[in-house]
Amino acid sequence: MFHTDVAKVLIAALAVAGLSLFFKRARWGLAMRATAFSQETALAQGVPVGRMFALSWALAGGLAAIAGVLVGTGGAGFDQSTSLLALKALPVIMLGGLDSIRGAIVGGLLIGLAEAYTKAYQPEHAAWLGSNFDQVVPYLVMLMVLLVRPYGLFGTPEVRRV
Amino acid sequence: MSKLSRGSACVTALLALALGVGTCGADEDGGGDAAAGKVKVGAGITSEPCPGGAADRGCIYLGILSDLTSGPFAQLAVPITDAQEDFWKRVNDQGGIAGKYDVNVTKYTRDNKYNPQEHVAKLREIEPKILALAQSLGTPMTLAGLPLMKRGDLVAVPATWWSGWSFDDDGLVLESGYSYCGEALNGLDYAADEFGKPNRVLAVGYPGDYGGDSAAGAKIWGEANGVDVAAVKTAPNAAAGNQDAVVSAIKRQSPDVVLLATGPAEMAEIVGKAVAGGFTGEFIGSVPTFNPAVLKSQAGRAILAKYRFVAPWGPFGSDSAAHDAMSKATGGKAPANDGYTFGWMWSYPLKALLDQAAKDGDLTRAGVREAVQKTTATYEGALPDHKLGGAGENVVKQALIAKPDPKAPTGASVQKQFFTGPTAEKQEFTEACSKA
Amino acid sequence: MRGRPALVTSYEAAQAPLRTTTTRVWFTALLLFLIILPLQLDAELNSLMATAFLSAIGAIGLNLVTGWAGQVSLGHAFFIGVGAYTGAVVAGDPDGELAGLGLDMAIWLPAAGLAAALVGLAVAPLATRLRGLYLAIVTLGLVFLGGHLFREMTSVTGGAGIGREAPSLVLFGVDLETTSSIAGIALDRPMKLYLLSLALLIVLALLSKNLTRSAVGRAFAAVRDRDLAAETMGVDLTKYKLIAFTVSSFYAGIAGAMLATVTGFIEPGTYDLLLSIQFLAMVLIGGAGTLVGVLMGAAFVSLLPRIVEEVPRLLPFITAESSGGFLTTFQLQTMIYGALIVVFLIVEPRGLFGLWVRVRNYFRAWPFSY
Repeated sequence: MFHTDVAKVLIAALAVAGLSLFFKRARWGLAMRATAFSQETALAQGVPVGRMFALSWALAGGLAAIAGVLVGTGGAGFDQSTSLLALKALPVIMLGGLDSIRGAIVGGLLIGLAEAYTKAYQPEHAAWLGSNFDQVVPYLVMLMVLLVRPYGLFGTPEVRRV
Repeated sequence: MSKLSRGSACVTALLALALGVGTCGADEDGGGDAAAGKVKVGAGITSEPCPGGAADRGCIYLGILSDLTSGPFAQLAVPITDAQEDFWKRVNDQGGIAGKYDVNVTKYTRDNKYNPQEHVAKLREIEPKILALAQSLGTPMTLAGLPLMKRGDLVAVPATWWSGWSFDDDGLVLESGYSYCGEALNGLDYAADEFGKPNRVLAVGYPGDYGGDSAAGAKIWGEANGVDVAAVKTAPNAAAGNQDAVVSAIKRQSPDVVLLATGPAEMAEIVGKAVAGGFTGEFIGSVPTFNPAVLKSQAGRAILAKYRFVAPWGPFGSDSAAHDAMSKATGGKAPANDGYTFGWMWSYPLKALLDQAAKDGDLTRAGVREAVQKTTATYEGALPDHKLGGAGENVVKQALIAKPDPKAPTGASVQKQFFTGPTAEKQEFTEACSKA
Repeated sequence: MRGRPALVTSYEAAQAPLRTTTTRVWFTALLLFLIILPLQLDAELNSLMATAFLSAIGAIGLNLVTGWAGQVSLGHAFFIGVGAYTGAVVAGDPDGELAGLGLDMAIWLPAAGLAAALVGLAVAPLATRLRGLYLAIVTLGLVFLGGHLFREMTSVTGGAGIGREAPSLVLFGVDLETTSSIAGIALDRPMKLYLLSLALLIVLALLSKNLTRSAVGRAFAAVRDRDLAAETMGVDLTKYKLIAFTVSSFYAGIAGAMLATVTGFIEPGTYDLLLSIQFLAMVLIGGAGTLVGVLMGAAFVSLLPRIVEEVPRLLPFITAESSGGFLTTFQLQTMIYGALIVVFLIVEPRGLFGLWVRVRNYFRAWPFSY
């Protein structure tokens, strides 16, 4: 099912490109970035912060739905437990850094590739790691990166004041 | 006096008080004892009628522990359970056990979620109130519950085909049909017969009794016939995500025959992806790998072309008195899948056992357990008679081959009637093929 | 001071458990009730109550690290699993196919706690490096790693889908598994387990109360509220985070080993994210940072499934069957569970304890409403 996989990659790329464009050019995208940067200042500038939160939830849900459709098509099919796939998003955003879209893309690619390669080659070359080790790899990669860079690859370090 | 010692003095005084006062004894719940004529009864039988049952008959309660909601075999288990309900309803309509007792299997039906811990927990819950288990789904689950069953003299019908049940000399488990081990032998014999002797066989299965037993059977066949057999372990998609590892293994090793012991969804994915990737070999599936729903999936065409499965008895709609009774019970409608047939067939030994125990006049748990060694199960034409109990003398070897058929009531029709392959015939089973 | 018995002169005294006569009277009444209760309930409910008590122990542990020290830990299920398997191995049959040492409960129970505590100690340095959401997700990763480990160590755990026997209850040589009678009352296994769990809960709850009213507890609260400020004031963050994780894991280990004995059989898949969330729910629904709240939360979350099972009798469109009907009990229970967590976090962030405080204050001031 080669053409299905190519289509999936294209759709994912389009979605990410659309999102980046939204944040760079659209007024609402800019407003969201402003809210993320500093809520109070954005509020003072007239950005409806509550609506920005609602929009961010909506976008997250929509993107997750697209991801779900892409996962569900193709040979694997799906059932109730497929929804647990969403948990994989967590190591990805931790790896990339919480406030960075670029981090999410890079992290997603890194972890997705790590998982796929592990699934394909680990049973042969490193069987001592156990079966289904690829399910654990995202968390390991995240852990190793976080130990070195506690805010993720592209995340901005939190400034804390007493 | 400091707070702590005052407090502890309080507590000790209270404990003493409580033990002395607490003679308001607990109400013993569970199956009441009832002397019913000349038949001895104990736990799991009441002289009151079943809820909704004949008013002049007592009630035998049987438990069901099955994967009803979230495990990998839930799609099969629900029809299995429905079939058992219909089977025992038919028994009740025909007069019940010894004309004196109706059988109830619905009150103590519990979901074990295909998890041994859950199974044992639910078993502990229903054990004091039932006479026997009409269904215990999953070999690891049944094995986990075995110590409890031994202590309580509780016999069970397993909803699994592990080879070890024939060698269970505690006489607690009432199996029907062949085992996954024998199934693998027959399946590979058929493949050798039909497609020519393979150069290489790949056995794919879940870890544990199901895939393990099947792979063990495949290895035995390989040794007996001088064919290279490799085994690949996989897991349900809920644990493994997808079956890509299996598909790559198939691609790398290029077997001629792939033996599958997985669930239907996983089977569909493996067959679909392998065939789409250019694999030209044949697939032989174990009986739980098929579900008519897979014919409608993306892999449907590949499955129709390249997949056969082994079965211990004919699918729904076959020709026998038992199958006719099944059709009557469902009103002619085809059930969701052949799980219905499994549940129906599996219930025959327990009915024969209860009849025998009633004839001997002892329907206590111990009495039922003793009657196992004396009982012969009959299947109303669907299978030959099968003597229960014993330690390896009564191993069933015959099988039939079924092929997917969109026009058949449960999606499959018989390709090759009952046979015993040459390797299966020669094989002497002296112990379980695999540890559970 | 004579003549002013209700006067407290220290923080410890102010935080003492059962400080006033009222609380003492009500506590003894509750204790009496709980001790007599097992004789009235059947085996299934006794096991359920034992589960509630043991879950409360685990929840107290999580409360210490999340509610008191502010370190969000989604990894509690992993420590519970470590405790359960340590207990199973130390108590297991030495001649069986899986690892076992065949030792008494007096050894395997503390061993389970200690093993989990050691693992908690090993994991704690993560907390010194990461905060908030990052720590939560990393501890979540711990659960998955732990699950993988449990599934692969088949000689210890039996493997996924297969499992092994839990530790057996043999305390100081006395076999608690069988039914015996004391002073004419027949005590079967569930009853003995109930009483044992109750005793353990009381002891461990009192210990945790003492911990939280000491200097260590105050340091925890400082770390939770503003760790940067605490550090500037001289509270050693590393040390107290280590203590928090270690103690919390000890509780989790004890709870895990005992919870395993309730069913008598454990399977590696039990120690997953859902178990962690269950304990987190106990802490959040009950009221993070309070002992009484956590006890109430644990009781509530443990007993909820059983209560929901009774619902089909009242509402006709909810069915106990596996299919058919508008909604099954399993689905209803999951929905109620989720809805409650959301409702409590929004409406009453202090959880059941907050509700209790409101009710109590109302009746204290009654008939004056304000």
